[in-house]
Amino acid sequence: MPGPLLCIGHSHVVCVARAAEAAGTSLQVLNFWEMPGAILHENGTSRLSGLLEQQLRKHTGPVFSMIGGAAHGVLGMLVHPRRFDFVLPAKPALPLDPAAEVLPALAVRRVLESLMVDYLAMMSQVHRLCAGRLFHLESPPPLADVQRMQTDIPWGMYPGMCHEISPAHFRYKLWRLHSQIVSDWCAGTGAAFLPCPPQSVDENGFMRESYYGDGAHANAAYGELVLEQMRRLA
Amino acid sequence: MSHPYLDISDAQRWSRAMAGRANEDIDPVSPPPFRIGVDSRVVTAGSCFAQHLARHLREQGHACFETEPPHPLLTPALAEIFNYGIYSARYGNIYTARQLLQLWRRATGVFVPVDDIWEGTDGWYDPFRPSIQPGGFSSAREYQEDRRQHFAAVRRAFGEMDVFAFTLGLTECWASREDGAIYPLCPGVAAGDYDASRHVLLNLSVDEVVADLRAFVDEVRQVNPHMRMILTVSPVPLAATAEPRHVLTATMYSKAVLRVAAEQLCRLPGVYYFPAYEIVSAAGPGYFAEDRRTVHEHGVRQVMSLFSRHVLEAFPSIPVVAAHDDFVRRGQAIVETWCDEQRLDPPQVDPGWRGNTDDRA
Repeated sequence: MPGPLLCIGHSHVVCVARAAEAAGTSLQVLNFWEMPGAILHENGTSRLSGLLEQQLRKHTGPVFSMIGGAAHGVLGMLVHPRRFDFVLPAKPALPLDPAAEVLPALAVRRVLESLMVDYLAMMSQVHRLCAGRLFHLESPPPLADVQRMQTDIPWGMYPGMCHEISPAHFRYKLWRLHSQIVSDWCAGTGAAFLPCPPQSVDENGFMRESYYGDGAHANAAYGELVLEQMRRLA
Repeated sequence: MSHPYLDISDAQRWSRAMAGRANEDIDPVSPPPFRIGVDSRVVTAGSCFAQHLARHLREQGHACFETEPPHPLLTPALAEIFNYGIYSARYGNIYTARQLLQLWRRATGVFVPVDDIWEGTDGWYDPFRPSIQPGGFSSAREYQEDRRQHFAAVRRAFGEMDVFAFTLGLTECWASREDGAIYPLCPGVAAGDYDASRHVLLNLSVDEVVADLRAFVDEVRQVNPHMRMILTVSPVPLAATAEPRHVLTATMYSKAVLRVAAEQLCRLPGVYYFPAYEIVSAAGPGYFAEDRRTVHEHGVRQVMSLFSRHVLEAFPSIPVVAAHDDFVRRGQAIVETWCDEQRLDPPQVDPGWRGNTDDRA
């Protein structure tokens, strides 16, 4: 009998964990947000704790990674005081914010990569420790509806910040760029990149509202779609 | 006996101004008709030597008038890779007077070259800024959007500047046979493909350099009547010549043309010649590296020291440093808040984490 599915990552694992709980699926969740001491910071670099290393070495099946996955939100959830946009290389015809300055896509990619360094390093460590294949699950797509998201941000905690959520297409482009970086990493390391469930996106590539959780995360219904992807690959 | 040389200043006599003097004690600068104030909007452009001037002004606490500055999200190193912050706008090196005039005319829509964009194997290239973007532009649209905002930045820089410091670098340049468009680099060197049937070498004469710069001054002053100009000639020799002669002969010809052109141009009102070329050349090999081409930093410092003394108004020297951006830190805070909120309602599945002690800690 196969062991439980193993899912490791940050906040995006929560929707999958909730779906597994509802479905009664055996799922082992390693959520870094719930594991104080699991990541050690030494000399400006991060590494997994010895305890977590041991735990990962014992796992023989496939590993599903949802490590990181929020750098695009950090960079572009809110409008920057110096509004910017970029032309997505893979889809150059997508709309541009008419009020924004256009930055080179490669420069935006470099900035985004700088926010992902620790997460990619963490993925490398997990990949090295686990005997089974590493599948990295794409971050949930963005919701187009800015008004819906507006109510989820605790604006009061951030006085002085620009209280404007970035235009939908800008957030979509950052999400695609983020996925491209992770996908490239997977291609270079032999890991598998698993795109988001096709049912979760509308005809324009945005998240369908029924899968929306909060401004940065998907809900348990989305988690169920991901869980099904995991079951098929396990 | 009486003659005009009896009452000339020491600076006019080689024996007193040059002979036996240390390099640092040679000062050939004539008093400028105007000085750069702390609030002056200074725009710099020219050959690679012009980059020193912009850097020096920043170090002296005098920010250049930047109309296409790096976005604060970009680190200084990343900004430099993408050629932000080198000059007032992202036009890269401008080696010839004709290239400068062409930039203004393209930015104002007066001239639209036939050669519009080059498609390479790895990206799209601007024929008139082939090195501006590492790896080229990722799409034709990215190039078009970038060029649109670049031209707006050029119009604003030239249209609103108080002082324009231009370093004349070359007389040799490559042009399109179709419409005379000037390339900063020969096609095929940094990008594009050289085609002898489409590209031609020009070696601009004194009259041509003067005419191009006169046209530039006249056209810019139509929108910016108070613009004043400082001309310098780059002391850096040619890296290579396409003329069939020795590179040293070609260099001397080119510098002579540019120096004479500058002399003629500084007869125009509001145009001043600063002798950077003479300051470096007077030191013989003293300011050059072993390659006889690279100007040592102490040579650059000497030029800039005299520039400060004669051309800049005195003001406190507080280096201009780009502001740091804390936007990412704040964005991280919002995302982490969401993540924190998820902790308030954790799922009940196997947490998979048995402890928080580290056996190696």
